[in-house]
Amino acid sequence: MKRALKIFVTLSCFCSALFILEKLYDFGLRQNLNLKMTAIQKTPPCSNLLIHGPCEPLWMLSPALLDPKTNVSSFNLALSHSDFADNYLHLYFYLKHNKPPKYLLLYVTPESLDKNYNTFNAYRFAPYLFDSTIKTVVAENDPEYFRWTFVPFMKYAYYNNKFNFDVLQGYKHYFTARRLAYYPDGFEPPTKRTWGNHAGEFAQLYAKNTIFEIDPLREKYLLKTIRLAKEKKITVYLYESPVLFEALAFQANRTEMIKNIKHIAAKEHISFIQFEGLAMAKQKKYFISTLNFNMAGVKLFNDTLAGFIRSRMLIDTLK
Amino acid sequence: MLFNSPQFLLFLILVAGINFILRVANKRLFLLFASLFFIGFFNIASLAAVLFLSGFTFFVGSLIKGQRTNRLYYLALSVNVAAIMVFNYFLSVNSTLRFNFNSVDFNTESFLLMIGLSFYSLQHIAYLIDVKKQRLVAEKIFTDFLLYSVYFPKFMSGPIALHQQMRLQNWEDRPSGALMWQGFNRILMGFFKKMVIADRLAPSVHSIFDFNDTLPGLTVLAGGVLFTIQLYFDFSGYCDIAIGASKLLGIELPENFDFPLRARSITSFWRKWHLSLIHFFTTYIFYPLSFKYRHLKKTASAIAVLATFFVSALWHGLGFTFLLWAFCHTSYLLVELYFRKPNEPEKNRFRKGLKALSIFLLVSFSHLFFRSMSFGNCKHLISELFSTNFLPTNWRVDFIAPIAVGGHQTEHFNFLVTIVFIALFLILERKIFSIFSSRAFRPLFSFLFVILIFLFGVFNNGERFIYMQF
Repeated sequence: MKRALKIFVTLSCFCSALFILEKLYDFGLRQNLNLKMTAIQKTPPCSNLLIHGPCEPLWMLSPALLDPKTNVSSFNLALSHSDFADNYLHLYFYLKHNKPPKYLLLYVTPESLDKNYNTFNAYRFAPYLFDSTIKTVVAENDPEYFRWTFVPFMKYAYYNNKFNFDVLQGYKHYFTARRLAYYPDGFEPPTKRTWGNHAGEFAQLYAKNTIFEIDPLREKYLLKTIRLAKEKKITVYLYESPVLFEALAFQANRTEMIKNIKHIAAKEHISFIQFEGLAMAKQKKYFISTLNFNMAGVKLFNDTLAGFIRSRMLIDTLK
Repeated sequence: MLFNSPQFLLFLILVAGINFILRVANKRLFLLFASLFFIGFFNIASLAAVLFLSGFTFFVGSLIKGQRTNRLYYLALSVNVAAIMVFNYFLSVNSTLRFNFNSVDFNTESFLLMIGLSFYSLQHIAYLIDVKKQRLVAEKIFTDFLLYSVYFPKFMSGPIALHQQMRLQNWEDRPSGALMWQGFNRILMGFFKKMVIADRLAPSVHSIFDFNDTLPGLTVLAGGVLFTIQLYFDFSGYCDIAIGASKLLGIELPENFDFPLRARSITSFWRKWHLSLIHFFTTYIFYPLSFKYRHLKKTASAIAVLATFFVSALWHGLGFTFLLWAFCHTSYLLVELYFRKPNEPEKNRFRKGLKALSIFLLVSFSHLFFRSMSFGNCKHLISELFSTNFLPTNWRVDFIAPIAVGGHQTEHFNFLVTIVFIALFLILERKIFSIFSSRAFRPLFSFLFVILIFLFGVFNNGERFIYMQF
């Protein structure tokens, strides 16, 4: 009897602990301004140009470099390793808490449509699973994780490596009454990296005879992102930054994939802007990986892009 | 149905529950069917293989005594040895089948994937030798023999329980409450080791070993150290779950580890690491050879060590890297055999620690070969280790980033947490082991460890155990 009571008390304490932990994590994460989901609620950026996509725009498009040249205030909403469903939910959440921007610059490349590259990061939405849209998208894109979210605290335990530090940082932000994110405009400078073994990396990234395949789920969320923006009267530009020229040979069906992206853009009556012809694409010194620049490359590309945006937006305004 | 899957937990609760209430006469049969279901659920080919090999071994075992000729005996031995070798051969050539150090998934549907084959085949070989040498009476009931082979807690990766050890168990007794609590405690410790330490280290080890990046020697050495810790916690965690699950059913399995990372000599290390496999090798290879060549004195031990590690390398796989690993340990042991003074009790704690550390580093060095995915990968790591730039020029980029798998604060924090857990666990290891070997319900420790698993355990992507590939 005494043992049964012990077990009962332990189990009750355990369930209560999980419940309390879940609440503590919810609160901590919603205070962490370095998380974009929190930042866009707490410090609305009110920008007219929204930069969006995975790590390429995150590390390569700097509002601080672009804004003075375009005369348009911009915010970088991109997040590393994200796919279109991830992008869609961030845009949805941004629009829920902010005034719609005039323009959306969304990064698309053949890898974006192939499920072997980047992914849906369900953990980014864990504190917001009460929202029905977020819940539906998470359930569709990470069903294994979603199944566990009904167990107390499992929505955090499942990817706990992604949360523990952020929760502590969230409490730090709360107790120090922090007002701005570490990167307030959303741009994160690329890592300093001496890129030595690039041929080996190509072989790993694009294993022999790799042919990009369009994942229907990715295509669906690309379309949903475009349509969500169009619903809010946002002008959407799809763009692809320069790809290191040497890597193109490893991308077997790149031309075909680009044709598909162009087709999607044409169908949705939006522009797809490419920078394939830039001279910098042939110089490895500007890159830290196939698709990412170092800071020198970022400065050069932002100059080019700013000029392009200016002229393009002018044309669109005249229309 | 891996040990760290929800299906296994459900299966174990169900089997332990039924086993507890079942009538004595039906227990063996029930556990046999539960084990066959467990294997079949995993992979039908594994079930077919174990049925064939067990059937054949049982059949030959029952004939050996009366046979004048040794043909059948050698045939049965060869079939079991060949099964291990063929399985290892397929693993080494078939990359789609391969479940290796850096793969997350493996193809359970493949008819070539024979889960547990290397482990139960050794049990069969030992059974045949023992029956032949009349150290063991051949089993008369096939279902009993089969149960000892397929008993599910030990089936996948051991501990390798010999036939006589399994036969001596009280299969008919209802497990006592104390034994069941002990089982529960061991399972909890196993999950902690696997999910909070081994699986958290896996990405660091993967990042250092599998990309052929240019790394300073110290980072490569750190990779070897981290892999040794990962391997220990992964495999001993697995064994804790296996031993604990078996205790829930009232059956005691042999221990597989005896705090090996505290060993102060390589000889002592091998008396503490993978005990059930070492027991097999010493009983059936090392002692017979030492005895046979005893007139050569120390050379007899040298020959026995050489042969034992050669067979051990082949058992682990057909890769050249395993031979290099075996060569390393053979060299260590031979140096100890010829040059080490007889053991004197060490009183100085600092010198004790230093000795343990040096043995740990030697083992970690050998694990560079063990963990390498290919000879090319191995060559790359060794050349990096002995290159002129042993110390990193940029510590953040060349040392911290590869071992923490990234340069962000989150990754540094996670790695620091893992290191703290490893340090605490290794310092308090004996204490923790005694708490979790307790035959009583320890609410505070159970609560604490479960919460720690929830807070820091790897739930996604941690579904494999390293020793399942052997």
